[in-house]
Amino acid sequence: MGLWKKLLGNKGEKKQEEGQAPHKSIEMNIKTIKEILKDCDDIVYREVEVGVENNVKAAIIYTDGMIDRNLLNNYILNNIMLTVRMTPPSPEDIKKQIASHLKDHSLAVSEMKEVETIDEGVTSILSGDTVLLIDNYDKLIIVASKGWQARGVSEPVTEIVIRGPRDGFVETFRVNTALIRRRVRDPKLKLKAQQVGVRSKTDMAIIYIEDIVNKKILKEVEERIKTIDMDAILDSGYIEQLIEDNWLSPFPQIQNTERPDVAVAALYEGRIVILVDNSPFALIAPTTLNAMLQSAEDYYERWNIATAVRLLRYLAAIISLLLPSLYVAITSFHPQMIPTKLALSIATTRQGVPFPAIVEALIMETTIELLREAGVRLPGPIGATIGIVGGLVIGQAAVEAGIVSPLMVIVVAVTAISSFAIPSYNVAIGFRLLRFGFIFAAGSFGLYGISLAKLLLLSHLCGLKSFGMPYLHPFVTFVEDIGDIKDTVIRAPMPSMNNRESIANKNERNRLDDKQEEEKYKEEEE
Amino acid sequence: MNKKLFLLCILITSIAITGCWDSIEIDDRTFIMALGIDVYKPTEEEKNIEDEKKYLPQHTRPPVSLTYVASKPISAGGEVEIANITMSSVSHSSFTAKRQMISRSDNELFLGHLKAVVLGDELVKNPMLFRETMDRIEKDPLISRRISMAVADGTAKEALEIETELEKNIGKFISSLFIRQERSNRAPVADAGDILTTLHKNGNVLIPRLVYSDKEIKIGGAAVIKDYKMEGWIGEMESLAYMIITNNLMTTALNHNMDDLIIPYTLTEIKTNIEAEKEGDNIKVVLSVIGEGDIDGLYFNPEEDVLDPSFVKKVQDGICKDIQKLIIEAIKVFQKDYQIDIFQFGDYFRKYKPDVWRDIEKDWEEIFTELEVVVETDIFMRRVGLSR
Repeated sequence: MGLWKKLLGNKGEKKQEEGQAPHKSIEMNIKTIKEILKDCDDIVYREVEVGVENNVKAAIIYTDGMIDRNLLNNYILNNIMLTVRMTPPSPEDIKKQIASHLKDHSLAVSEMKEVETIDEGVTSILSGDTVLLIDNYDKLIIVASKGWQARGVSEPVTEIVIRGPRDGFVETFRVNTALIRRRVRDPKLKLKAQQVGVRSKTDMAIIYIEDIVNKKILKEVEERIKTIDMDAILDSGYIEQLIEDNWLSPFPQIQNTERPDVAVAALYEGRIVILVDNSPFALIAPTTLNAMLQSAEDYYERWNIATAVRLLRYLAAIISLLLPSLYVAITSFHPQMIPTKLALSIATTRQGVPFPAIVEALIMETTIELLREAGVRLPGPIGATIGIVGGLVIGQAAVEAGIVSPLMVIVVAVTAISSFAIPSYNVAIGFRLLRFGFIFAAGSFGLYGISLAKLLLLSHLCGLKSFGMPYLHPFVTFVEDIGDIKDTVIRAPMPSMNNRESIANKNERNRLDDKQEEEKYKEEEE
Repeated sequence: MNKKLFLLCILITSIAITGCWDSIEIDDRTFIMALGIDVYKPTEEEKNIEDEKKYLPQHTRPPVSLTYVASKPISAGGEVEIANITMSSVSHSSFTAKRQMISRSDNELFLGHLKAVVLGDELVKNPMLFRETMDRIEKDPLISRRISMAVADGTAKEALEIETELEKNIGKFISSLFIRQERSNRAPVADAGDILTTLHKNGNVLIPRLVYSDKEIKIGGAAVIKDYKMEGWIGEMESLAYMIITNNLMTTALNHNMDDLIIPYTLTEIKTNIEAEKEGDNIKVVLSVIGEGDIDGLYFNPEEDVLDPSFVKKVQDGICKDIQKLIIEAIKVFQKDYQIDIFQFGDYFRKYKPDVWRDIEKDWEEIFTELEVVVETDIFMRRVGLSR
């Protein structure tokens, strides 16, 4: 936090830009816009004359490819050029107020607004809206005409579940907000849109449920977003990095998700969701390590299965962090800690391996990281081939050549599989990175080194916060929040999960409606 | 800044001073499975006997010979197999023997997987050497307290050089022998931790006996150590009685002779309770042994009905008497022959009858030899086996 404020806090508020007001004359306005958008050949200027006698000049300006041409032709051009002549009152009466007549009576479009500066108009053009200029009218009429080729709602790639909704966020901001709104039919759901990025002017929204959200955290999020000073925001990842608490940490302090159901579940828990245009990843803040190790499916599957899976997942996290370093520490320093038969069997497999265990571990871990990275880069079918060639062929050949021991291959493979079992990819990368640190600690100081590294990691995690929320919540929490344990390593049965986590506003801890709550108590009394 | 530098220095030094610095790869270690310690005696067949004899008179005590049985994976023609290696070294102290050994080994001799220590009986008869050996075992941080100890009826070296028919790897064989010994109960507990604790109390302990022939090794009976010195052996039945009295018996199988019949039976769930009574000047210890057992079998188509309660009762009474006799005889051996309170009756007085103990503490050794011990046995034959 301190560091974050130091680096971002002193930049201060953005200066409000004083825009140029439109001129009365349409020629002047077009000229100004053309000057601003000089050499932008995708901007289309269509000048028309309207009015009964065609004596009022008008122009529409839009960006080619970003608008809905059908809407433009049928409901804007058609209306201002033809329909306007047929509508009463008589042309003589309205000559002076042709602009307002157009606006209020002729343009059959659902969304329209007026702006008073040229710059705002230009931003609208570049956002895919159409600007309508009318002679002798000193405002710009913006007609919402956004419509471009976009990816349809499809299944999220990074968070696949067996049971649960199949829709995922897409790159279009409005589609994403609609996906969230569909799941929250509550007027208390607030969606505060703004634009970030000096040049990119990317749409983004802070979404929360007003009475559930913790006002303090909301204020913190809003303040941090205000301090964002970047020319372009291309993905929610930019925002994540610009507003997180501690960027030196290997752990992400803001969760991201491609799944609207996960985002909405977070909203109902009192968290805040940040949507950014052009990014299918919504941000969820604040978050905890515990939340990162959960999957949406945990709530859709029955509680006992979900609990078992969660236990497995925590085990996977520990394995992916510690297994190679434990192997190194035990084989190099403490062979007395394993059963004699196993020790002899390890010694047998390591016979003839020329490297010490730590080098062996580093070679294999680096190889598997290379394979993984290559697998991501390569196109689909070849990626799978590389997996087989790398995993099976190289592993087998390395063992036969006597460079590594077969047990090391097993250790590395189990570690790799475990790290894939962690639902959040960004936490898994953190663990992958830390694993190398642990291998070095184990290689130099044995189990003692692992314990030291664990202490360091734990002290870091205990101090880490996500928007004021302890990152290890609820494992490092006060007694009054002990109920949050219900949704950690275990997942309590649904009926017992009446209360929200302590992230939420204190008055709205209970998930039940007030009336329902009363009824429930009555039933209990009876 | 200085403060941070200072903290960093402390951190680095504390890591550097305390970290493990003994990194040796697992394949560079030779796992010593069993260790034999003997008094060194140069044999006349050895050519350099005159040279060897030089070692002898210089010291008030003889040098020791240590025999290591190690398992080590050795690659032979592409295939790796675990070889069984026996090495010996003579040294003036068992502490230095390992260091001498290292100069003859390409690998680190690793004691972390030591399973058994076998002591030659000559060595145990010399209190000085015995105490030094026990000190060496206790002080080594790598030697586990759960290893087994035995005294060889002969020399440890000979015992460890035997190639048994069942298992060529003698280290593995001896270690599994001790696991089996825990079940057969014909010898006292071989656990080094227990032996060391008992020795710390008064220097008296029983260590299992290891008997060997040309091709075989077995554990049975015990060496009686009195004041860190071996006084003699006790047999398997006395050991069994000792195990019953000290509540260490898991299960055992015995035979009962009844009217020309031999009835094999198994004892389980044996619990022994010690009570002490003082009537005037007479001190009495009452051992009540309760337990269960099974009659394992009789013979084909018996005339007696094993389902008949009176028959079972008869067998049961006989068995009770057997056990009673067994225990009384064993106690007598320790009272009369060795005169050591190996059952720690004195400990019982100290803990539960402190007022009595205060009076008898000084003369306990004499009192023990004359102590009246009453044994009550109550063994119930729960199962009689399949009949007809």
